[in-house]
Amino acid sequence: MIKVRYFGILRLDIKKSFDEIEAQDVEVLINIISSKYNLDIDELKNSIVFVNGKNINELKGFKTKLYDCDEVQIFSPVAGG
Amino acid sequence: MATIYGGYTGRVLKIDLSLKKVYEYPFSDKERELYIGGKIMAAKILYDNINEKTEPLSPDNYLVITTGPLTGTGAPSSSRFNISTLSPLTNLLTSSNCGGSFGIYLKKAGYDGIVITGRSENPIWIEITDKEVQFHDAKDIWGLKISETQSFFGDKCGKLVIGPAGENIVKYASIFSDERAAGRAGVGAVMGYKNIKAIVARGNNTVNVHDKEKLKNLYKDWVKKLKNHPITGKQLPRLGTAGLLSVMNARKMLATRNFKYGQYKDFEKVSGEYLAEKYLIKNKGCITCPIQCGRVVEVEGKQVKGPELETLGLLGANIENSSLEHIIRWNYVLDELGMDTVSAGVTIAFAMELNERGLWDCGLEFGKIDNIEKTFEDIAYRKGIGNLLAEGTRALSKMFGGEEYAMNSKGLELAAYEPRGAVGQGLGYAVSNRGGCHLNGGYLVVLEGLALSMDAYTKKSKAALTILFQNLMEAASACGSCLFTTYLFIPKYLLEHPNSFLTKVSLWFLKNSSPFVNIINTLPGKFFKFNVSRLPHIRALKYVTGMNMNFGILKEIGERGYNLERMVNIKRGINAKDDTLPKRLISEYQDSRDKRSIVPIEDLKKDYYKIRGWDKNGIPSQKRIKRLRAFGG
Repeated sequence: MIKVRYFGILRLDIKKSFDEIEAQDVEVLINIISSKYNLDIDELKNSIVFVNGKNINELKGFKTKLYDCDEVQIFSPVAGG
Repeated sequence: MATIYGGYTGRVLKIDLSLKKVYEYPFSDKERELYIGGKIMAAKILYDNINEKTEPLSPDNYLVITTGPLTGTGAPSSSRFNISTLSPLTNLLTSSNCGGSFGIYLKKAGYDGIVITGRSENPIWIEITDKEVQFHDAKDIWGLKISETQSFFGDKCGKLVIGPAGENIVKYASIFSDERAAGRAGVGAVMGYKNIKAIVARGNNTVNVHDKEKLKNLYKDWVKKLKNHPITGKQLPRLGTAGLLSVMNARKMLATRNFKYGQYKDFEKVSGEYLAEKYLIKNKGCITCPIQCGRVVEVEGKQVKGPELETLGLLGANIENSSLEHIIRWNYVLDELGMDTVSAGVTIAFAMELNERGLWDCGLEFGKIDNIEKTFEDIAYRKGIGNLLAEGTRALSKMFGGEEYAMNSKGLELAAYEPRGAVGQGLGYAVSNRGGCHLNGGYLVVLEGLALSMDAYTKKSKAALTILFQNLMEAASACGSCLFTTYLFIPKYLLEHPNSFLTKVSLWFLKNSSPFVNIINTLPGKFFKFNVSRLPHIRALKYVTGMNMNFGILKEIGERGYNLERMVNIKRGINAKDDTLPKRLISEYQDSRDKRSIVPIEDLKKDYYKIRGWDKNGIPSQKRIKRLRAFGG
């Protein structure tokens, strides 16, 4: 399971700070979150995403692989752009 | 002294407290063109009136309160005014841009500014109206806290007040206008030393503007821009400045355990998100401000101002406290005592580290929170260890040692950004005219992680961008605007599409932008005779004052101001060795595995001085000063 933490306006909008979700990579994870909270996928893809403390733009972007117990932090854009 | 320009009353009040006499301080239209108002106008007044021997806590020091031409004209986010003086904490010039309504009321009373010198023998409060200036005995209000003092004067007037910390000359006491503080570097101590408990302004004077119709349309458009911008329209109204704490932690730039680390394990418990979820009642802001970044929370059954980002960081992560409830309470207590939460937070964190290392048995410990509130009270009333803590971090390091981790620059405690995670911000702290201030330092952390994510560790282009931001923010502040209005300078697209190819290319460009930025930084203003729509201040100044105005003139006003403030400090004896940071930040890696996690201060300074036209001692060249007409002429 991947530990997902939400920050910024996204967290206020979905009224949730933490989830545990099963996903192989960031893209899949974002898709699951989009469906779960009925969020526009394109807007959600504009979030700032950190995997185990590293920005996905320094890793493999949305193709970054995820492994059991990884921690993903998702920030609304602007909070951390 | 009358003026041909709109936006000004044309009069500056001078008060000699020792003689209890008032005069008009001469300030000409030529000076208005060069120095505009606010902190730059104040820098000119200080440069002309203080010398190398003037003691901050002496009758000879000047307390200068100035508005900008946009203040009181209905400009969005522009109810601001400025307080400058020689700081008892740094012994140098300090300036504090403050919100609340005092600036607007001062103009209603018919004045653009107040210049105060001398010292009253007894505590007084000063009443300034459009008819007269009166000195009143303050015996009935001396000793009162901030809100009690404000209540004494009722509504429909601007109130500038100090609390017990200012009365007892705590070196980082603040001055309050409504719930907003001229917080930093001890302006409240100077007011307290001069025995002024409060200044109250009221009147019916109106401010004329040059082109009312064009201004009305511009302001409408400016408000729209602020409301549509992702930072000023969404982030700040929804989460306030507090909303930046989580991302600072993710980017390793959240000062933790007296700046030993850049991340705090319990950051979520003191975050803006948690504040919004558990404690926020509503948001609030200054008059004429569409941003409404203030947080309203409840303490003792009263609705009061909630903590800002700096307070959350420095009374949370930096002392390893994870109780947001306590931070909210301490924020209220510190405001009521009239004390800067930033310097108070950094000073107690330093004391905790001194205690931990066996250098000062003061009873303060990281993570121990039961004695903090009493410590703040003791600081304000200078009791016990509070009497020493009231002197600030640098003074404590001289008493007990630990200079290498006494988190100040030029005597002013650093803000909550750990600069080893944002080296441009580190440069800003080191060269800032008022000491370790994030805003006066250029606030490069906005590009290095808060809003955009340019490479936070590279030295490339950091000096150039710092100078550009310092100059533009200096000019915006002098207009009477909140510094948040300069966020419009950052393109919306880049903020809203952080993962796009275009944003990545733009960030690469930003990293390599120094040759282009330095064209702006070094060429005279006459080469930039155009408007920049992202800076509505340009056209606002033109329509309010009737002065010729364009980007070149505005950026040169900012550069002139920054250099003039520097020259005040040069007069006070600073040089390149003072533009530095505590050793921890420049010689110890934040993360021993990451050799970039350190502030390469000497390299950054070298670039900075060269672009500024300063010599290796950090002294502005005669050529640059002459070109800028920094001293007038």
